[in-house]
Amino acid sequence: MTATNCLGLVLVFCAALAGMSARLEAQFGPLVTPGQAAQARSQDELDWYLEIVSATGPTAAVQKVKIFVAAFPKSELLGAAYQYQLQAFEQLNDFDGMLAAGGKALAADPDSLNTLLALAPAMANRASARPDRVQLLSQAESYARRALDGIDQIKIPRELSIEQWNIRKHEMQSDAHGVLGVVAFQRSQFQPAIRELEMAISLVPRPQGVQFLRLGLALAAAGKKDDAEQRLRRAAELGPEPVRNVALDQLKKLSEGQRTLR
Amino acid sequence: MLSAAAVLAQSPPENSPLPDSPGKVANPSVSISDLARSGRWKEVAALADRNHRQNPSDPTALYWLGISHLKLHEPVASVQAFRAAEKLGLNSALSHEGLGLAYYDLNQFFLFEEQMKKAAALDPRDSTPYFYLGLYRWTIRSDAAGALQFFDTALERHPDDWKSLYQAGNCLEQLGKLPEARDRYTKAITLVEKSNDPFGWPYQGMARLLLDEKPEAALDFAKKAVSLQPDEYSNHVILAKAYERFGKIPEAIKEAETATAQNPSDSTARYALYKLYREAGDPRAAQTLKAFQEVKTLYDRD
Repeated sequence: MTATNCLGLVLVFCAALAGMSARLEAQFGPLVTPGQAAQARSQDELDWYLEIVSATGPTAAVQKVKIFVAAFPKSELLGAAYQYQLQAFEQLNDFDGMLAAGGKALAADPDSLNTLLALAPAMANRASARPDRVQLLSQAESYARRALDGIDQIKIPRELSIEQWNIRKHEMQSDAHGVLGVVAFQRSQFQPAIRELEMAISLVPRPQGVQFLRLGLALAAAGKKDDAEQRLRRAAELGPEPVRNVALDQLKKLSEGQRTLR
Repeated sequence: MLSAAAVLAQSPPENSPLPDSPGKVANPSVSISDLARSGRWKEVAALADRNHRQNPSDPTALYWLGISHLKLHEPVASVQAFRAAEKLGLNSALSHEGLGLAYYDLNQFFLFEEQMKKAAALDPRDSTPYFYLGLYRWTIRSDAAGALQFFDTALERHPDDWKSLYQAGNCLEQLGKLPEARDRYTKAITLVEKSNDPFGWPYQGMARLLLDEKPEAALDFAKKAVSLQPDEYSNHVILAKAYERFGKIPEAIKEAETATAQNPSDSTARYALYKLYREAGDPRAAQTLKAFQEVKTLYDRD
């Protein structure tokens, strides 16, 4: 098994662990410019949109978005509706659904950090098993870089304090650097991968086990056995159980002197 | 610009009926009204939900669900309840006002305006829809002239409403019609003083208008605004400016610090504080300037 294939398998399950980075509040949260918010033009249109917002479970949400789109194909709320559908497909672990919904959400709102940072990790983490791997990695990288640019330029609602924003900003930057690290790894560019994955860890006060696992795998692939062991041990400490199991398995292989990823 | 939610923070004019009855509804519930009057909205929601389950065809319970969810800042549930009530035949000024405010809270201004117009049509003597429409035109659309028309219409229906008087004065001030603005503020102040209502806005307006012309009077008005609404940061900003006019820099700094603490995301207060620190030779000026720049970059639109 090649290094990238091995990481690909790990990342698919990491993706399932990660879930959506933030609760989606498309359209209805505090807005910087409420006057520019997408408007429903009839009560029925908003009623159907609220059916999506209040859907119980991802399957229902996916269906309700389909109904909404069919009934109101020119709605200003389409972009927000597709963001909900993207989230629902992610919960259903339906990657093709995510790609379709995310593409439509981005068509409506190309700068949506929610969408960019939902699509980019999914693409990077699942690319290895797909025939369109190269294209997915390229898109993931592009989306992550767009997100990083957007984070730097964003205006925030006054309801959000600077302290709250800084926490959220660093989480998003961490996510984006994590994507760049995975993309680099998938391209066998181990030094950039290590740099990006270290950056991802450094940006958050409490990094997750999965982040150390990725970095440990990248270090192992780069032949940095001692550093790799250290990060894998940290991953095993932090867990959760699936991360711990993979980390311990990798540690065992390293200690047996195997170049597991090469 | 204020956020959409800001309108909900504004009380309706004083002649607005309490939401003790949505209009022509069957079997009005007194106990819910009592709970609503005392602001126990979670209990209102629970009782209304129970009543709705017992009698699903009665729109009254749904009306109360809508109102209580609105008050609990749950606008999605509020809209859904009001809409269900509407589909059961509820069609009153109060229900349209409630639904309109719930739409507003969801940034759905097209539907908000539609509902306020329906409310106004059903109760032509009610000033409340016009007051809310005015607030919307000003806070969301920055349309002082359009907002003024609505506030004037509200005042035709309720001439003693000091909140509409203040808002009309503020629009006139924005439009550069300062004598008329002063007239509205003065009238609002007269009414506020009669009622003892803790409403400091017209005093703040007067302080702004008189800052250059009559700084002593401005200082008094600014102090009064602060005494009436000490938690409103902009009152402290004006008071800081008034103190500064008299060279009372320590007092001005204290007020600007209060304003900044109360509203950390406001760049105006930060900048006022920076200037005062600089004037006083306070070493905190540099850090405050940096904070001002950060706040301006993050929050203020170009």
